This record gives sequence, C-alpha cells and structure tokens, in this order.
Amino acid sequence: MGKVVLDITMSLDGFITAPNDDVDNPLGVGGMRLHDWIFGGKSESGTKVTDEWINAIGAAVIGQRTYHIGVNTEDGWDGGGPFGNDVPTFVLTHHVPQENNPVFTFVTDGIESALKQAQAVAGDKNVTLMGAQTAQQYLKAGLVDEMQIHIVPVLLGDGRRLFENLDTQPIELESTRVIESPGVTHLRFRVVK
Amino acid sequence: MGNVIFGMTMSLDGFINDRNGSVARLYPDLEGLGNTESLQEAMRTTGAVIMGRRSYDMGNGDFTGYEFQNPIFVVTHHVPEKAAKGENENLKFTFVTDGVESAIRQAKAAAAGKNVTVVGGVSIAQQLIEAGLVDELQIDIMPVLLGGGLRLFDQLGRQVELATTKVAQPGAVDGRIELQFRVVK
Repeated sequence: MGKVVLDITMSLDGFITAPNDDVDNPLGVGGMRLHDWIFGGKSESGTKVTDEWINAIGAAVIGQRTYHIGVNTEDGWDGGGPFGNDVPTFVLTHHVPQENNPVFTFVTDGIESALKQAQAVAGDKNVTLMGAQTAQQYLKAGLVDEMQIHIVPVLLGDGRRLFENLDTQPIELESTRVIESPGVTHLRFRVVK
Repeated sequence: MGNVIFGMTMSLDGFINDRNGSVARLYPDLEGLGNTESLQEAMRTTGAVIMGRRSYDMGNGDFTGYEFQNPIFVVTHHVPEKAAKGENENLKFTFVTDGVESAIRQAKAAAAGKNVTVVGGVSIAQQLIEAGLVDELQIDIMPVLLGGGLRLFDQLGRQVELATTKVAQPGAVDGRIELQFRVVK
C-alpha cells in the first residue's frame, strides 16, 4: 500500500493562506506570495520536488472548503479535480453537492472511510491530503505517514494556520530530508508511530 | 555596524514550549547544542544581549557561566532589587524600563560594532520584528508537533518579507533543522 502524505506550502509563521481566503482569493489577500516559488518561475530543485510528489499520487482526500474554492475559482481546477481527471479525489463533506465529474467521490461517513476508499483506488501509490482542516483531522487520528512542508521565507502575520486544533499528545516526527530551493525550503518528515 | 539577531527554537507547529511550559522536548541535548558551530559563532560575534524579564527570571538569579559573556539588557517593567549572580567585567546587567527601542539603542552602543543577540522572549521578539528592528532571524525547527504551548509567531501586525540565508541539513545535533533569514527592509 502507498503512503498517506501531506504536501503543503507554509509561511515561516505557520500560515497556509493570508487572511480572507475565498473564491476570489484562494490563498487569501496577499497570499499568492506563498506560491511565488511555484508560479514565479520554479527552480530545477523545486520542480523535482513537486514532480516527485505528483507522480506518486494515486488518490487525493480533500475537505469541503478546498473543494468549493477549487471548483469555483476562475483559473482553479479548470473543470477537473485538483490533479486533473486522472486522480480520484475524495471530498469529506456533510452534504453531497450536485457534481457530474466522476473524478470526485463525496464521503459523508468520516475520514477513515474516505481514506479506505482512497487507498483502495490508489493501490501502491500515495494518498495525498489537501487543506489544513483535513490535515489536522488525519494527524489527530494518527493516519498520516509523511509530511512535506515547503517553508516560504515570509511572516504573513495572519491567515489560516496549518497546525492548529491538534489537541493531542505531542506527535513525534523524524526529519528525513531538507532541500533548499530559491525562495523556499522543502522539509520532509516521517510521522513516528 | 553589527546586526540585531533574534534566535529561537520552535516545534514544526510553531511552539517554543509545550502546554506545561516545558522546553525539554525542544532542547533534548543541551550539551551537544553548546558545542555546535552555530552557537560557537553566535558567542564569538555577539557584543550585547537583549532578553525579557521571563528569560531573565529563568536564570533563577544566577548567570554564572552564561554562554553570552556580554552586557545584557533586560526589558522589564520593574527593576529587581538586586541583580542576578554571575556578573563580571564582561557580563553586566542593565534593566531597561522604557521599551524595546531603548533597549536596542543601548545594546547597539554597548555592542561596539558586534551583533546584538535577542534571546527572547516572544513578546519582545514580536515587538522588535514589527518595529522593523531585527536584521536576522535564526529559527531552529525541531521535528515534533507539540500541539499546544506558547507560539513564537502570534498576532504579528503586518507581513514581513524574509530571505533565506542558511539551511542546515538534518543530522545536526538532536535532529534540529537550522534556518536563518535576513529581514528584507
């Protein structure tokens, strides 16, 4: 079976969006700064790190918020899922929306069910998690195997925090790789279980 | 002119102590840490130190053998009746009651061209960063999610642009990842 991974960009002060994130500003007002390393001319090492992640993805689990913003943002997912139409994407939600794209499966019976379904289709490939709340729920449940955090050298001051509401005993990690790219540092961790 | 440097160790989720106020998980190998190149260099290049009252009180009244043998400026509202032990011709305490900017001014003068190292606490660091008075951040990340405690970066009133100047590979003492940043002004 593949791994359950989280791959996400975060400011040094812990934010994955700037304040007031919505359909018009998916990363919050001023939050595009976080993705400068991706859209502002990606470096060779940055490209390698993202390609490695994307090529290993067999399925994705996302939250309702990420889904809503992703499908409704102009220049967002362009009618597909977050990784196009080839990567089955499971959406954690309480209400199943009108959606005709079969890339999405809506899961109303919890995170473990969503993961089980995602792992079934992913096979030997990884299940990737998207969004802060989704990440927090799976971390709390001890279901994350690996995290890659792209640290951007900026203090945003406010926005949506990646690590919040964990309310658990400390979660031990093992630092397994550090790669420095222009404008971003890629930190990879294994979750110690 | 030296730089104003703020250095701190935090968990990956941004805490500088745990829910019980303990820093043990963030500094599992104090002895090893004391021998790191980074600390040795900090000791060589520091000319004055700024700390808050809580950091000062954590010394329990005795700074004998403290790693920074320099003038130390303690930002506080109330000057203690007698200064901690450990003062000598190099390490002298000055209690600053008129704010962080005054502390920076006095520390820079005392540092005589060397760096001013801010060792904490969090509120002093935030005030200095917000006021644009910090030149360099040295943030060590420990591979753990503490899930609660005191946040290093909280309620900063504005966006601050940084440039990464150093990244140390893992395998350093006790698993920490060393990151250094220049504050872009």
